[in-house]
Amino acid sequence: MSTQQKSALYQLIVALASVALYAVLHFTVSAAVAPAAMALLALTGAVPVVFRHEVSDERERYLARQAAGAGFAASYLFLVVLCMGVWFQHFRSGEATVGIDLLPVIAGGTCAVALIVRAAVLLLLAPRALDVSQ
Amino acid sequence: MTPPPIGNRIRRLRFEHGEMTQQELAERCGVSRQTILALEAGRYGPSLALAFRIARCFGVPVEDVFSWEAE
Repeated sequence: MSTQQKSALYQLIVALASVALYAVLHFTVSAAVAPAAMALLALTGAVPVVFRHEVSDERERYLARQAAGAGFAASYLFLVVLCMGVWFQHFRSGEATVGIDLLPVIAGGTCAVALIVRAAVLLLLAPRALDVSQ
Repeated sequence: MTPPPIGNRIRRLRFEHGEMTQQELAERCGVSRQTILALEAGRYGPSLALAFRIARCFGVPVEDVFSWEAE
């Protein structure tokens, strides 16, 4: 497993752990405390220190571009659907404004989706067929 | 995702050049060993620049290393 794959695996585990912790806190403690789980995502900031990347060649850069594109697309879709869902829910219940407490959930959730999809795509693509000319 | 229709003789050329290891070839071409591994297995289509660098490492024309196998 290359350093790039190890780094992706680490990010995937951290992001999934933060989502799992969010769900646990949401259902066992309270919805107000649950967004604190998103703080776990900060652990992904240690990637450049923990996984020092010595060789970055064209194949790795290609993989990184593909994975980043997929991560961005998925997180953008998630953001749009979530925002529309929040708006629809409030519209139906007759509320004129949306609570600011939803912001960490929306922002953290979008970051988590971006990280998870990016890492998963990288781990899936790395051992498979790739053609830079495509 | 379908494999690129590009065949190569990298493995054969490595052995013809003093049983060069994948790591040695990777270092000479400035790529990772995983990239050489993916190339040999036909799972990765190299850029034109990398194709020329590999051919230069073996001292042969690029068409002696890579071939188009779509037709």
